[in-house]
Parts: sequence; C-alpha cells; structure tokens
Amino acid sequence: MATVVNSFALDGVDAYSVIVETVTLHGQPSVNIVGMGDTAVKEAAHRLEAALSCGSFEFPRLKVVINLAPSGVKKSGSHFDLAMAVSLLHEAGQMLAIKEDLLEIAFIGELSLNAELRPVSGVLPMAIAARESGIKKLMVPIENYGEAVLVKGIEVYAFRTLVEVVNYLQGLLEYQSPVLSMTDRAPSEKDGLDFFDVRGQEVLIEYIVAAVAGGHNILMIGPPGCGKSMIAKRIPTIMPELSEEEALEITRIYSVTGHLRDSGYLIKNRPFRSPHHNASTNSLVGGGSPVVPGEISLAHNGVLFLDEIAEFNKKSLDALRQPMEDKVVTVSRVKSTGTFPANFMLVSAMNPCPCGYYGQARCRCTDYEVVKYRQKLSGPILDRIEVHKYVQPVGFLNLSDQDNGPRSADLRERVQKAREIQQMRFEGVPYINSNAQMNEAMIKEFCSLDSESTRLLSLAFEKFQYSARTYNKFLKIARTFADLEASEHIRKQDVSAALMARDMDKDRSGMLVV
Amino acid sequence: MDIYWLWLTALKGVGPVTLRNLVKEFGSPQAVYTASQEELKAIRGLRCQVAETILASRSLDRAKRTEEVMQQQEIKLLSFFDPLYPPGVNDFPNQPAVLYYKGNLRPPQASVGIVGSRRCTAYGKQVAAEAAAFLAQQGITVVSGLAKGIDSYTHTACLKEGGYTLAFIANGPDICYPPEHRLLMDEIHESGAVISPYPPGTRPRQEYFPLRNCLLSAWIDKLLVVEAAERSGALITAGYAMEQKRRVYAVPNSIYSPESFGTNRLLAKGAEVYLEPKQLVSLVGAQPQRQFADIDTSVQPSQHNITRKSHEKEVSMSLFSPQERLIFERLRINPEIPVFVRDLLDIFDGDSKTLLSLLCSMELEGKVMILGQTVREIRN
Repeated sequence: MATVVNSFALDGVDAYSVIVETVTLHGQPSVNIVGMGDTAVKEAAHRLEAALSCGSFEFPRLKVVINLAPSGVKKSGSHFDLAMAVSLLHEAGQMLAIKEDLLEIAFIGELSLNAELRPVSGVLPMAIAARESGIKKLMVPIENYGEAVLVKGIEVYAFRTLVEVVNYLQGLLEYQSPVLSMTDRAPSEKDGLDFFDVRGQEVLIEYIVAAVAGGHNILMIGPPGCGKSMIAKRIPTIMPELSEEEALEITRIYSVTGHLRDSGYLIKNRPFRSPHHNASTNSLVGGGSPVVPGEISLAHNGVLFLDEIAEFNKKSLDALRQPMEDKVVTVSRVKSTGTFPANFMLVSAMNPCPCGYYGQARCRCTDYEVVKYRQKLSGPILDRIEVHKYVQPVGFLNLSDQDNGPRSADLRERVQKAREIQQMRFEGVPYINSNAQMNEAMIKEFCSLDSESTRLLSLAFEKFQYSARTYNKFLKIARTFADLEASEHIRKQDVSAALMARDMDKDRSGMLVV
Repeated sequence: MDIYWLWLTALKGVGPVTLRNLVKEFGSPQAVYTASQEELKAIRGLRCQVAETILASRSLDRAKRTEEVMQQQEIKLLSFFDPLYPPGVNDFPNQPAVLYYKGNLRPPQASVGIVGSRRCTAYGKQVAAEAAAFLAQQGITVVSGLAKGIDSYTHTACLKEGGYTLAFIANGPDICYPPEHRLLMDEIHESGAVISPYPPGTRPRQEYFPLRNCLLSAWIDKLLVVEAAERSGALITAGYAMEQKRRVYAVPNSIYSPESFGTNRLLAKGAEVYLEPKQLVSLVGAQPQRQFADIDTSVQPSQHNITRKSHEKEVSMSLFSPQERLIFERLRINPEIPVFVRDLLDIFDGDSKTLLSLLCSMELEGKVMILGQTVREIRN
C-alpha cells in the first residue's frame, strides 16, 4: 500500500492541496515522479537519492513511483522534496510512524544534497491553504518559520535537516520552537524616510497629501533633479498604517514571487515599486507560465512609481487601465489563469518637454514638440490621473536656510482623518472607499457647489478651455480638499485649490498650436 | 496638360531657364513634346545635347506615375504660365518654372514673409505671433517655411486669426516635415496652401533648402527676420530677399543673445529695424492709405498706449486688497524672475489654502500667471 503525505502547490497567489503518494514495487531500480511536474519536480529524484544516502538512510533498490495528486494539474517548484523524502522513507520502512499521524501533517521544503532543508517561496499561501484544509501541523525549513507562523490556527514546526524531521516524527527528538528575534529583520530602505527632509516644496506636498487622502493618482512634471523621485519615495510614509489584513495580502504576494525567501516576515511597510521604463507589459501586469504577479500586484496597497512615464511603452501603460479601475488584474494564459490584487496608487513623473527645462530661459523646445512629447501619455491614462502638478527646482542657495518640510507622521494623521470621513460617506457602498472612485451619481450627490464656487469654476473653464471631462475631476479633488479640513460642503477655497491641481491642462491652453 | 509639364521638368539638362524658353517658343509643353528635330534645332541658344535628350525621351510613364500620385494626394501643379503664379517671381528666370502645391491658392496679393530660428526664444515666439496675427487681421498673406520654431508660430498665429498663409517647404508636398506639424499642415491646406518646388515623394535634404528660401523671398513683398543664429536658413533667405530688392526687417535683440547674432548683423548690414507690426503693412500695396505712413507718426500712438495702460494700472492698484498689494510688491521686486508660491506664504502666516485661493482668483482675473509653483505678474 502506498504511503500518503500532504503538501501544497501554488496557483497564482493561492495554494491548493497536493497529495504525495509513494510506492515501492518490485522491478528494475528506478525513480519515477508522475503528476505533471516541471523540471524542478523531476530533478527531485536525484536530490532525494543524494540526501537519503547522506542522511544515513538507504535508498531502496526497488522501482519507486511517486505520484503528485491531482495528477492532471501542472506543478512546479522544489518544495515537494521534503514530502517525497518522508513518504519514501516511510514506505521503505526506514521511518516508523503511524500512517494516520502523517495525514495530519503537511510538509514543505527543498532538500539539499547534504539532506539539509532549504527555504522555498510561497509558504504563506500554503500555510493558509493548510489551515483551511484542516491540517494540524506544518513542517517547514527553519528560514520559512517566520513566514509560516503568520497564519494563526496551525502548528508550525521548523527544522534544519531531514534527519531532524525523521527523528521528530519517530518520537526520538523533542521539538524546540525557534525564537523569532525581531532584530533579524533586515532594515528596509524605507526606514528613516520622512517628508521632513523635503525642503521648499510645501505647496506640492499639500497636493500629495490630498492625492493620498482621496485615493487620487498623481503625475509630477518637472525638470531633472528637482526632487520628483525624492518626494515619490516618501509617499508610502504618509499613507495610513497597514491593517493586519492588508499586510497579509501583501506578504502573500511577496511570498509567491520569492521576495520573502530570505527575510521571511510579515511586511509592515507599504510597498513602493519603481520599475524602470523599459519594463515589459507582462512584468508590469503579471504573466508568464505559470502565471506570476507583476509590478502592479507587488505594489498592492502601496505605491507604484513610474518615473519617466512618457518613456514607457505605450502598450504597457495602456494595460494598466483596467487594473486601475478594478483594483484587481486577471492574467489569462492558455493553461493557467491568475487573479491578483492590484490596488495601488499610481505616482508618476515626467519631464515637461523633450529637453526637460520647459518654462526656463534655457528651453528651446517648440510648442509643437512639447505637445507631441506629452501626447506620449494616452488620453485614457491621463484621464485616470487626477492630479497633475509641476515640480520646480528649489533655489539651490536658499536650500540651507529653509525650514524643513512637514513631518510625515503629522501628514499621515491628516490623511487618516480624511480617509475616515470618506469611509463614513461610502459606508455600505460596495467597492468604493475613496473620493477618486466616485461615479457620476455620487459626484452629483456629494459634490454640490455654492453659487460662488460654480462661478469660479465656469470662469476657469472659460479662461483655460478645459475639456468637459475634467469637470468631474475638479469636483472630486475639491471634495478631497474639503475632507482634509473636515468641511461638510465644498467651499470656494477647495475649488480653487482643485483648479490648481491640473497644471498640464492649463498649460495646454497657453500653447500656440493648432 | 499637366502630364507634359511633369515630363518636361523631369528631363535631364532642362533647368528652369531652358524650360521657360522652350515653353515660350512653342506655346505649351505639349508642343515641346511633339516638336520635331528641325523645330528644336531652330531654337536659338538650345544646346544640341538638350535637344537630343528631348527627342530621345518621349516616354510619359514616369510623368503618369507622378500625376497619379498627385491626383491621389490632391496635389496641384502650378506652372509659371498660370495666372496664380506671381509675376514678381517670374522676374527671376532662375526661379522654378513648375511648382507643386496643396491647398487653396489665391491670386497673387500683398504678402509678407516671416522667418526665423528653429530653436527660438520666448521673445521670438511673441514677436512672430504678434506680427502674424496683425498681418492676418489686415488681410495680408503671411508666408513662412513650416519649419520648427518661428515658422510654426507664424503659421499658427495667422491661422488662429483666420488669415491666409502660405508655407514653402523643401520636400514633396505629400511629406510632412517635421512630423509634429501634421495637424498644422492640414490646417494650412484648409485655409492656405503648402507650396514646394519639389515633386511629391521628395524627402527633405539639406541642399534643397536654399532653393526653397530663394523661392520664398521672391514670392513676398517684405521679409521679417525674427531670430537668426550666426549661420542659419533665415539669414540665407534674408540674403536672397536683399538681392531680389525686397524690404528686409530684422528684430533687434541683445547683442549677447546667440539667437540674435544673425538679426543684429542684418541690422548692421542695412536691414530695417523692426519695432512694430504696422511697419510691415505701410508700404504693401494692399493698404494704399497707409503707404506713406511716417515712422514718427507710427511710433507715437503706441507710446501713448503704453502710458495710458500704466496709468490704468496705478488706478486699479488702489482697488486691490492689502494682501493683493503685498503680493504684487513681491512680484515686482524682479519681474524677470518668477516668485515661488511658498515664498508668499508668510503674507498669510503660512495659511496655504487662503493664499492659493487668492492666487487662483487673481489668475482667473488675468492679473498673474501661475506655472507650477511659481507666480509672475502679467503686464499688458
């Protein structure tokens, strides 16, 4: 009778139960792993052979068949090694354990040739799947311990070597759980970032606060070296604290993509992703076979910073349109489909013109060139970016004697308050939790203007010839500015602040082009 | 009929002078096509080689292909026989005898050319746009070269005023160069014409530009050079214009500005100093009543204008709120350098909301201009 143990396989950011069955048959000595495994799974045969002989076991001189059920689904990864080794040793009679006990345990881990356990990716979703399928104990490599214990309601056992695992299963070893020291945590580069260091950009920071508070996307336009990236990197520091649930969502994605393999802890900071502008469409939205999440999912609950957004491939950018609306992305391939969360704030930066110094005396770009350069951003993408702000370089000489910028902690508090107001407003409305997501009807309901504000808005439309679709954007941003000051109604000053959030549209009206 | 023109211009060794002679002798290009050896020999000054070429190449295939392309692209042919061809250009036999154009060409009338640097400054843009708009209002044809910079601003400003503009290009009229002027070119087709001495399909090349410049200067009555670097196409055009006895105006600017080396040099060489758009109108035939306008009288009214405007400003200043007045004081410390919004925060004790609100309404009233985080006063 075959020995059966539990393991898990990944499907996107979710895991599903895989049963590893091993049987030894009389026949020519060989190892056959069936169940549609990829190369990493097939090569496990050699690792098993080496690890067993190294771990003072004997590799059975029989025909070994290992089946990964469900057998009709493609599987990949090296994390089945441990489960295979345990089931083979039990089947060969080299490990004495009760079969029923084994069924309550799931095994995850890669084997080295010296029978040590190596960390693998995707432990978090596997642990979640294990808990949901009613498994009581989970055995993982010691490096993955921190990640696995994030899941409550399941006992996690971490080991260094295969021998330890076998000894524990036979009752020869008393298990001591490893101590999680928080000092192990690798210091992230985001530690220590603060808007305090940004000098002379108070006005811009106001708009950043508004964008974060209202869930608006933002485009910063400025010459090289004016501090766009510096500001963008600090945006996660003013976003509200991650809730436990959000943190788990992020950690899950990072676990699958292998970003946690070495650090293996719950991610506590909001992610900040800044892919280079030669990024392929698939690396941005996710893809490959099997399907893995892309940058927009890695930026889930955080910031996706596209520096030099005009240099990105137009197709890649347009692929962001649907995820920006739906907050999830579904990547379909012939043999697999993955649905990944992608609720990110888009922060982008670009130069104002081909030479980069538009508005300064040294710029010699013609209006036609400037317009053509800006058209690299398609209308639908610009449409989804509510705040367009120019960033001007701060005078180098007065950098030193200027006051520091506002503290991130204070800004975060303001953001949090504005968010709370929005949560109350959209209570009971599914899928909408920020001003940016308001639809036409909601704008009518929540963004009524007094006569003075209406007059101001119509004056601006007349002067700068804004298009009709920008009208709703002004209202949404004005709503956020009012929320920041806990005002129930949109006031004139909110509208004027909103009017100054569309620098690019305003600029367009001043250009001498047909 | 056009096909014979196309055939004749494509012949090797038949330049504009020979072509004009031949057509004048025979009466039409078709007659040249059917001419016998004896008839050709009888023409004085026609080289034997050319006569032989004409007799040897009787194939119309190439001309037919060009004609098809022209029909597809709605490109029309303008021969020197055509009444639309300005007589002023025909005075110079070196000028191309056959032109290709797209758009609506009107009978020859008073026209002024505006040319300048591709990489121009904001000053150049302002001068070009102002002049072109003024000429458009006066109903004078505005001629330029559809290049980047000054040329494009000239055409655009004229079109915005509903004027009639001609663009002379150095490539086939079916090609748009530079490509970002696609929309501009389409607009010119609607309310003016794009004219080229080169047949469709010709890509722009450096050596093609002087001929286009020469044609442009021959077509116009007056030329305004807005900005020109030391070695530039605009200077070449100005040189041709002077040779062709056109009046050339140059816009004065700082002697240290590299964009104005050429124009300042033109002034030194005797080009007229451009001070206001009226100068371009005064001696153009279209406006006989202005023909003898004197420089002195034409300058005075505008001076008067300036004083009146500044007076208005003084009066309106008293209508401003104290905070507005403070803002204006700051902006006027150095009007050349825009002021950062953050530097005005102290007027409001750091209350950015109120400051932005005030600046916004000031901008809507046209008193200031906000670009990103800087403010400057608008003076007009």
